[in-house]
Parts: sequence; C-alpha cells; structure tokens
Amino acid sequence: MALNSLSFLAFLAVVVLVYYIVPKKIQWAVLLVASYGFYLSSGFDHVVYIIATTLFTYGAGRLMQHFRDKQKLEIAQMGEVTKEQKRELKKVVAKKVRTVQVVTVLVNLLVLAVVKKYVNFFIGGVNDVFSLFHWDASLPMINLIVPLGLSYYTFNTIGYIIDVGRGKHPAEKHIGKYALFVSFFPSIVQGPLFRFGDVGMQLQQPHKFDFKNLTFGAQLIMWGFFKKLVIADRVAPIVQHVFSPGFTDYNGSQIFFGVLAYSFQIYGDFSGGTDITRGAAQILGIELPVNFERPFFANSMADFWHRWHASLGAWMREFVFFPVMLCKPVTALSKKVRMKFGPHAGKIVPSVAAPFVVFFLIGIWHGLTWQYITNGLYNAILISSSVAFAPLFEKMTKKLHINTETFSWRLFQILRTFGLLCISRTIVKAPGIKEAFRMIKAMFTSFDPDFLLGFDGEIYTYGVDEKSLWVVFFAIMLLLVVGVLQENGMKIRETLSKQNLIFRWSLLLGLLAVILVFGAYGPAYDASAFIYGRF
Amino acid sequence: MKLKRILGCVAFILIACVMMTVLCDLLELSNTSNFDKRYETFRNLEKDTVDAVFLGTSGVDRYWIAPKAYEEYGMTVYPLAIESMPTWLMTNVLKDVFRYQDPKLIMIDARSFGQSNVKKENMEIFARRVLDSMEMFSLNRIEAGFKTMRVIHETFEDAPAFDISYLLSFVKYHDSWKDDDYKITNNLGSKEHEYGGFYITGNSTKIQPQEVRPYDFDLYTPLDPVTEESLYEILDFLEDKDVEVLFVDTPQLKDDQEVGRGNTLYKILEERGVDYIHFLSEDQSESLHVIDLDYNRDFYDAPHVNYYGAEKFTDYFAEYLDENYDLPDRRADDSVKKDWDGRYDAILDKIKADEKKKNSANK
Repeated sequence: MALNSLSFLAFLAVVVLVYYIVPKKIQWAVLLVASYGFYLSSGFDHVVYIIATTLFTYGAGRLMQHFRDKQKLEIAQMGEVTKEQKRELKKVVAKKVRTVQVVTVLVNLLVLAVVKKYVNFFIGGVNDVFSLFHWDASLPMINLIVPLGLSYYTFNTIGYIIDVGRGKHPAEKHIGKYALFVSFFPSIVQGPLFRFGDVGMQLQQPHKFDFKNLTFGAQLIMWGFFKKLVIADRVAPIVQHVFSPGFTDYNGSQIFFGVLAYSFQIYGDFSGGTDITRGAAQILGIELPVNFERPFFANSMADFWHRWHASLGAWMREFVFFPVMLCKPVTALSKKVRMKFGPHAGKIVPSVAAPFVVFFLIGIWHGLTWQYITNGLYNAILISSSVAFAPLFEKMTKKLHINTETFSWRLFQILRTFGLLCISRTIVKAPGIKEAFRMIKAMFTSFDPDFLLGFDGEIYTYGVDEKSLWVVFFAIMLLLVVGVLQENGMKIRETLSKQNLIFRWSLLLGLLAVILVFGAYGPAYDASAFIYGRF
Repeated sequence: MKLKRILGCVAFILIACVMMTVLCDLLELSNTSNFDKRYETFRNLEKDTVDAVFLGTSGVDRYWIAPKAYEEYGMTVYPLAIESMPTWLMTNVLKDVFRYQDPKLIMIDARSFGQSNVKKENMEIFARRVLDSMEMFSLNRIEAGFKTMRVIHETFEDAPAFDISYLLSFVKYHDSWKDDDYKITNNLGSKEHEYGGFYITGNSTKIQPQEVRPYDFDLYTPLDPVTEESLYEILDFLEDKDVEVLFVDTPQLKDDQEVGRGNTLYKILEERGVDYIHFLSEDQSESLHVIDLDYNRDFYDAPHVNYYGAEKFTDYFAEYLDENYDLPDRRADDSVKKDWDGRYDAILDKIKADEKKKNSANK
C-alpha cells in the first residue's frame, strides 16, 4: 500500500475512526493491528523479518534490564557495601550489558547487510579476484527479499538497544507496545527515524481527539501529496531520460537540467512522503520528528545535513558522530596533534575523523556501491574541510571586505551549496562512477544556455512536454515561496488557521484542485513508489 | 467535537465534491460521437415519455432516425447507443433505462453479440465509453465499474483486479489538459443531443459502394464466453421486467464469423422464445435485404449504412413497429413535444448543409 495511494487514505480514515472510538487504554493495540495490517499488505514474507527483529531486540532489551535490576537487588541485599564493592559490581554488570548491546547491534547490522545484499558486494569482489587469477570458482550471491522499511526499523531498534544499554530509559516490558514502536505504520515506509524515549512513549499514551491535529495533519498530508505528485513524479521522466545510458550524447546544460530535475524529484519524493507520514501520525496525536527543514536554503553542506533527512542526521550524531569523536584513539591522536601543531590542529582531528565515519556509513546505508561510497566521502571532505579551513575563510572574507551579514552573501552561500549538491547528486544518479565524473566534467566544459532557456524547444522533448514543464515551474515557485515564508519564521498552518474562512478554504480547495488536476497519477503513469522506500 | 466543527467539515467535503464534479466534467475527454450527450439527453427526457428504447452499438445510432419516426408516426423510440457497447454492460444500461423511463418495448442491437473480446485495450475503451456516459455518482455505475474490472481481469490475467479509474474516471482523464486537442470549451455548454440520438457528422452522406456477399444460414460460430454470459443475463433481466423484447440485426455486410455468431444468437433467442428481426430476404439464399437498400448508394462502409440508408431503414422499421407493436402517437402530448419537436428538421438542415458543402467542393 503506497503512501500516496487512495487506498492508504481510506485505510488511514478507518484507522483514525476506530482509534478514537475505542477506549483509550487500547488505542495502542489499534495502532499495532493497523501497523501489521499495513505491513502485511506489502507481502507475507516481509513480516517474518520485522517479527524476528522485534522479538530479538525486545529480548535483548529485557536481558539488559534484567542485569540492571539484578544488580540493584544485589546491592540492596548486600546491606552496607563499600564504594569499591559497588563499583566492582557495576563494572561486571556494565560489561554484561555492553556484551548484549554489542552482540544485538552487530546481529541487527549483519541481518541488514545480508538482506540488503551488502554481502554481495564482497562476494562480487572475491569472485573478481578469482577471475583475475583465472580460478574456476565463484561464490554464489545471496538474494533475499528486502522487506519494507528494513533500514528504518533496524536503526530504530539499534537506537533503542543503545539507549537501554546507556540507561536512558528502562527496557519496555510489554511486547505488544514494543512491537508498535518497531512497526508504527505511517513511518515504516521511509521514516523518519525516532527514539523510543520520545515517539515510543507517545505511542503508548492515550490520545484524545483534537480537531487541530486533524486539520493540521490533513493539511500536511495534502502538502505531501503536492510535493510528491505535482513535483517529484512529474519531473521523473526528465531524470529517467538524462540518466539513462545514452548520457554521452548530452552536453553540460542538458545534464544540469537532469540534475536540477533530480534535485527536486528526490526532495519532493522524500519530503513529500515524510509530510504524508507526519500528517497521518499527527491526526493520531503522535508527533514525529521533523525530517526536512527547507534544505534548498542551506548555506553550507553542514547546514544542509541538518536540514536534509534530519532524523538520520540526529541518529548518526548521537550513535556514531559523538562516540567516534570521543573514542580513545581519536582523543589520543587529537592530543598529540594539539601538542605538536597547536590547538586548532588538535580540534581538526575529531572534526575530520567523525564526519568521515558518519558519511561513509550514510553512503553505504543508501547502498554498497562505489557511487554511494564516493558520495559519502565527497560530503565528508566538504564538511571536514569547512571546519579545517574555517580560520582561513574568515581571514579571506575580512581581507576582501566581504560583509557576511548581507542578503547577497547568503544568496551566494545558498547557490554555492546547491552547486556542490548538484555534484553530489550526479555522483549518485549517474549510470556508473566513471560516467558520473564525465557528466560532472561536461557540466563545466560544454554548457549551452539556449537549451536551458528553452529557445530551441529541445528542453520540451525530455519526457516532459511544455505544458507540464510550466506546471512544474510554478509548483517549484510555490514551494520556494512557502520555504521563504518559513525561513522568515512563519508557521504556515498556524497562520492559515487564523485567516478568514473563505480565504482559508479557497486556498485549501485550490491546492486540492492543483493536486487532482496536475498530479502525476492514474493509469497514464506507473505507480511511482517512493524512492527512499527501498532503503 | 463541536457541532459547528462537524458541520464545517461536512460543508468543506461537500464543496470539495462539487469542485471535483466540475473538474471531472471539464477534463472529460472530448467525445466526437457525443455518447455522453446522447445518454444525458435520455436522462433529461420528461418521465414516462419514451415508449421504446433501442439499445446497442453503431448498428443503432447510424440507422435509427428517431425524430423521423416521431414526426411520421408519433412514436418515441429512443436510440440509446454507444459505439461497440460491451454486452456485459447492457444490463447496467437497461437499469438506467428503467430508472428514468417506463418503456413497453426494449430493442437490442444483435450485432453487439457478434463482437469478440480479444483485445484488452478495446475492451477498456468500449467499456469506458459506457461508464463515462453514465451518471457520475450512482450505485449502478459503481456496479458497472466493478463488473468491467472483473470481466477484463478474467479475460486478461495481466489486467489489474482493481483499477480505481473505472469508478472515478477523473483518475484517468485528469491529465487531458496536456493533450493538444483538448479544449476546455468542448466540455462547456449544453449537454443536449440535438439530433435525438441519431449519429450525424459532416461525413454522414459519404457513399462507399458495396458488393453483395453470400449469407450462410447454416454457419454456426460459438459466441464469445463473456458475450454469451451477458446475453443470458440480459434476457433474465428483461424477463423480470415483463416488457416486450425485440432483438434487431440491422443491415450490414457481415464476415463469416459475424454470420456464424448471428446464427448462434438467433438459435438461442428461438430457444428462449424471444423475438428477433434480421431484415434478410425471404429466400434467405443471399444477402439481399428486404429493405430496398441500394448497395451503390446507401452504405457508408460495409458494417454501416449512410444517411440515405438510414432514411430507408427508418421508414421500413418505423412502419414495422407501428404495425406490430402498440406504440402510441404522442405528437399531441406537450411533455413529449418539447423534447422531440424540431429534431428531425435539425437533422435535415444539417444534411442539406453538408450536401451543399460537398457539392460546392465537387464543382
């Protein structure tokens, strides 16, 4: 059941109705049944994985909790104990907890690696070595069904295990309530990622019907449909056209057109899907984390990653970035460098090491291909260098008398970031890594402005005709206008709710009409699955 | 939730539905044959003013000049025809007929049963013509939509078991603004079919001489399974309605398969005791129609007569109906006059204008 389908809306309507009719005590059970019903609609085979992950991580959490509870009991039973004895006991328990934590996380990651065919990357490499030496042998590839939202619930459960291990919250006792945390249906397809201490607890709480939640949630869903159907799916043919194997015939402006289209496609697709997810959850009284904060207005790559897939960024920051930054080898190296080259150099070590690990992982999270790895490293280099060369940039702007508090400087930063992102998008979307570099080179060496301005009419032959392209243009303009208003602090839905009825309804009905008429859906289009659904 | 808010939600949903209906109407594909107009005109006729309905395909609307029969005999026999109307939807069309009118006689175009369902695309197109002409929100239309999905899915495995666009045509047509030939003006204005259901274009006087083909009354070809199932469904439905039924096989030059299927149909109808008429000559040795059709002048193409053929067919068939069925003369009935008067003149004017245009082009 796709999030952008009528069947999903009908399903949601039924769930909402039942959810608010049943006694509040069992609202969570309604959500659990709905979540598994939703999940089952994607295929019976898929459910096996989510049940296995739920049981395994639930068991691990309970085991860690058992160690902790036992420790408390033992201390209580021991009567008067010295600090030394207490510390010793805690150490033993911490070791046990850590072992469970590490094993659980590794098993989870291993399942992810096997199912998502990461292992095949290595098997392929081994087979390449065999053929290099003309050995008549090859290892078989492992091909399993990739269940819906595997990465998302794996990351959520890993987060849960680490949090329980760190003692941030106790392990959940109720298997049903824990299963709901793992499988909550609006977010299972493409996130956002969330923590048990936040969303997990919200899911268990009773929720009274709130009209504001209903209207705001419905509006967010509508906005998500607009981004997905009017922008993402309408520009999809351009992306397919430019990034097909015939790319060598295209000049730089044609490739740039494709990259531009892809940038809006991926944003409309992913953030649109997230809006639908968050809107659906809001109707149910659940507030999911914000995943996108107008990434097109980012003024640096670091800023972009705070705005783009923010829940993954937050997860990485919490469970990878800080642990890497604070781990013993990095701090030791940082100390050495600081002593030898000064305090700024010392700061650079963790600032470089952590992004490299994070972006390498983000790269392979998308897929274990050279393109994703390269893209991860590209982002890591950009972010690390911005930290490393920050003093230099500061000196340069001062020397050149650049006022960094102006609109023009901010616009330059936004355009520069967007340009850097276009390169990143090309690396990922090109048919191969070699092709990606050739495409990037073409963008700088053979540019034809006539094409982009539509003078020769060729721009309309890239799978999207003139009328559709104008629709996309105005839709993007609307998106940017809304973005500018939000950047300036306006809370669109709050502001709208304070307007007169006629204005408010006209706007909402207008948006509905735009989606219905200009949305790319129906038999003329392939059922466009969400791009991030496959991760 | 306060009552005010509930009412607000209901009002918003109602406005959204009205908006959706208007959008559906505006973005509907422009239909050159005006099937929807023919259907809507039927729906708008004064209640209980239609005595007979002639249901079917192009074997009806190109032959039966209803306004002419009305002018000459006062009979109101409405041609509710849609090109290649699928047989599985005929019961649904009949349900609509009885919803709006109370006809004493139902005539069914026999050639519909000679069709075979071998192309998925054609099945879809033909079904959509009917579905798009039916009332947008009615249970009958929903039933027809589901039936279409089932029939197409059962015939072609790769066809989806559920396709929302059969229930909400907007899902399929919402993109029509992109088509070069789409003009919003086509879907604005009156939905009245000014020629009373008769098919007329700027080319209705086209002449294509035909050669007489032999007709073999001993040739039997099984009906298409979907068609046969539909036939029994139609017969059962009409039996329940207790109306007179007549299957009409309008003159055309059939190929062997059509001849074989026609004969099979006649046999089934005889077994069920249902009347039919096929206009073939008495000796039944060759395809000479009892109507004095001129094969060098009265045919548009092999399966259809042109306007001149339609005039002859209507003259003959109206007389036949007048003699064999108890159809009242309604020419003095005011509720009928407002819908039927002047339609035949409109047809004659159109034909005259076309002939004039053709003559001046030939000079």
